[in-house]
Amino acid sequence: MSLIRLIAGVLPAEGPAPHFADLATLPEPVAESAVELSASVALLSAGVAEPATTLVEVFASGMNGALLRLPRVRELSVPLIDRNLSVVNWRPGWGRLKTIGLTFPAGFEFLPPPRPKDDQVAAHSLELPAIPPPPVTDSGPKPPRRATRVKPPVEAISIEDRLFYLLQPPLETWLKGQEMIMPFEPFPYQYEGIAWLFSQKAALLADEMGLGKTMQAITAIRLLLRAGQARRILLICPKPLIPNWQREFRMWADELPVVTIEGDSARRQMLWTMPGVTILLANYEVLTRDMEAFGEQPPQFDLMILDEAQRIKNRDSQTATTARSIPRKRSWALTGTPIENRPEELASLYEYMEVVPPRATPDIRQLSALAKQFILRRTKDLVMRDLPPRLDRDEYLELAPAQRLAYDTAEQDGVVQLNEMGESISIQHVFELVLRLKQITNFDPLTGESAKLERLEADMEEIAACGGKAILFSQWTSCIDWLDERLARFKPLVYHGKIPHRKREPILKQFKDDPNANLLMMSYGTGAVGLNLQFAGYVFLFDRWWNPAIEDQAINRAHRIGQKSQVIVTKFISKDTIEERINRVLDEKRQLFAAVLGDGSATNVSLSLNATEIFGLFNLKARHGKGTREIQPAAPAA
Amino acid sequence: MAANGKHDQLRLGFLTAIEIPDKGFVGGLLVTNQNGRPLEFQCTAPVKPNATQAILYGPTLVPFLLGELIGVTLIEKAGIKPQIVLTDREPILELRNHIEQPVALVWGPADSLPSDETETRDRLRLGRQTLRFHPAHDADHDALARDAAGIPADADLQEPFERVREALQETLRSGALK
Repeated sequence: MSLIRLIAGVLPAEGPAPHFADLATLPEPVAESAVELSASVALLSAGVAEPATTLVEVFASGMNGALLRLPRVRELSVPLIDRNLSVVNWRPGWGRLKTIGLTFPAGFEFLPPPRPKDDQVAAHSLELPAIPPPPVTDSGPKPPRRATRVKPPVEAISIEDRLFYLLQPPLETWLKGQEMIMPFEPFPYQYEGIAWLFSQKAALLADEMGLGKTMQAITAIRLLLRAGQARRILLICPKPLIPNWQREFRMWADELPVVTIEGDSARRQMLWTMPGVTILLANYEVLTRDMEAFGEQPPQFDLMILDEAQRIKNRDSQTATTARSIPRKRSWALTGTPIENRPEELASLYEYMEVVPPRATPDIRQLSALAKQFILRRTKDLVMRDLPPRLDRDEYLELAPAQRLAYDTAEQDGVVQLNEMGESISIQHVFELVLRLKQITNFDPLTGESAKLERLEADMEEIAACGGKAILFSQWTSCIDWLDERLARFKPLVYHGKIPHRKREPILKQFKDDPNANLLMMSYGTGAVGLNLQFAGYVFLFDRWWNPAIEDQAINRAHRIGQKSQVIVTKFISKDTIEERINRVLDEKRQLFAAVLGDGSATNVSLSLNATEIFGLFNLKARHGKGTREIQPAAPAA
Repeated sequence: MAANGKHDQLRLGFLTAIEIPDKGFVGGLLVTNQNGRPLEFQCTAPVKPNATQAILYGPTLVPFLLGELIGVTLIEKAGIKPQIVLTDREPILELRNHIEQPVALVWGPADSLPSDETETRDRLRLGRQTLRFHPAHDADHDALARDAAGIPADADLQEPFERVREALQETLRSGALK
């Protein structure tokens, strides 16, 4: 009621003017509301600036009564938004996604490995029991699981080709027995070799002898067949190694059908073209002979493998020409000695692998660059740190008296004869003298005296007594036969080129299985390559080969994967003879190669004697005027 | 048994995606047999949501992209249909709402499920891993337990995802998806 008082307070005290309504005379309720309303109006009219001091004068206008009436209020409905407003419409459209895909080719159908009956029952039951993983016994960090992945080859350009290799499972998974039975767990370097071969169209696997080139090649073949990358494969090897490959296929890939090209001409022709054959195995001689019959249309293969591929080191040879003429998609070569005499020999292998044009003559730098891409070589030093050691013993022996007499006489007479030949001397003449002298260092042909035999008998007594097994190598089958008679009490087994092929496998089997068979005598030519004799702990080199690489191959029949104990290698060297001189020259050459190419590379090259070095074994001098001059081999024709 | 997967051997689909900075998500599907041997591979071009899509999809964006958009596309494109889809990315479980096949998340090593703990409806030991399923499709547990019994107990179900990721990177490097 302050407003009422305020307004009432401003009324004139001496009496209202005639046009003023007397508020006091109004009926109470009306007066109250009217005063309140009029006061509000007065305040609004005055701008509400200073309501307490504002004097409101209401003049008599004839409509003052209207000011006292209450306002009328009406309700009206008004639409808030026009229905025709524009609306932004957004729908989440993503369009079609671009994709690319790759379907893997169908693989070769393998017969499933035989299962025990219990497994077969389980396999056909509806509810297969889940096999829980082994319980965790150690909470410590687990060693990382090894995974050897196939890498796309450098030459794979298209994304489909690259994805094909990238998406293959790790070899450890692939080979752990779900789809392919592996009799033994491969070594890590072997997994790498298999993965490398699998991805290569051109490959030279040049692992040192004894590291399992055969097994790596067979397993890579299995994977290619399984992945649908090959259906027809040709494998060429030296004839003595045919049984070895057959045996290795049975061991590592029993499910693969292997057909060996053998028999008469008609049968071989039939085998070459027989449909449905997956793997053909043939020797180099058969290959060369049979391909002529096919003329311009030789059989085609998805993969061709040359074992002991140094056989085609001469690119003009019939063997090399024939090998190159066979149509094939992949070309692999296996050899422990990719270079036997000269680095240029690699060019012939590269030509077979089709990584250089025909007749190309790459220089050393180019050969080396190609080697990085197409050659895989590992040495025992690098990968087989756990292989038992090989202990080499050079046994320098004095010739027996009769031997010495025979030797000295033969050398003096021989040198005299050579000197008398003068300029007509040839490497063949010198070579014949060397061979004659080397044979005498083995035994005296007249008396049969032999310092080497005496030493060998002593060693064999010990070896036989402890049930050990020894391999002996000689250059001559006649020497092996001679030893066979004199070592009869050790029941030696003989394995050389004059033994029929059908008898060779039983000999090796007997040597392995018969505890009384303590000695196997082999010729370098027949026994030096491809055989697995890792159960033998002793190797004797009764005489020396010209080339230490061949000797190493022979030794590695025993010193290879699977060998459980150290291998003792005894090399017999007769003192003051041609053997000692040859050994010295070879040692010097080996050191020279090691210095030039680095340690471990000496086995990569052949260290065989050249013509100059063979001449140098004797101090040959021809008469030259009043004096003499040194005899040298004739310069090779240009 | 043919490698083209036409026979009734078990076919597993390994589906994953990688995120490439500035390019978005790329998905890959590798169909293998039960031993991990590849039968087919499919991959998508990169998918990158714009700002509007990112705002409007909110937290459902990644499950939509990986599960519905990329996952469904890859399954539809595959000529050899997987019977079981495995993934190592949880958002891809969304795919299960759009396809008939069971979808499982390869969640962790088998020993992440304590040996004394009974397998629950949403977890299953398979190979060397433990699987999880979409919560709305717990019947997948039984389906996998039945159909995937042929998977070896020592199978590594994580490993194929490495192959898929490598293949995706290789494909991107090649420019084939531009």
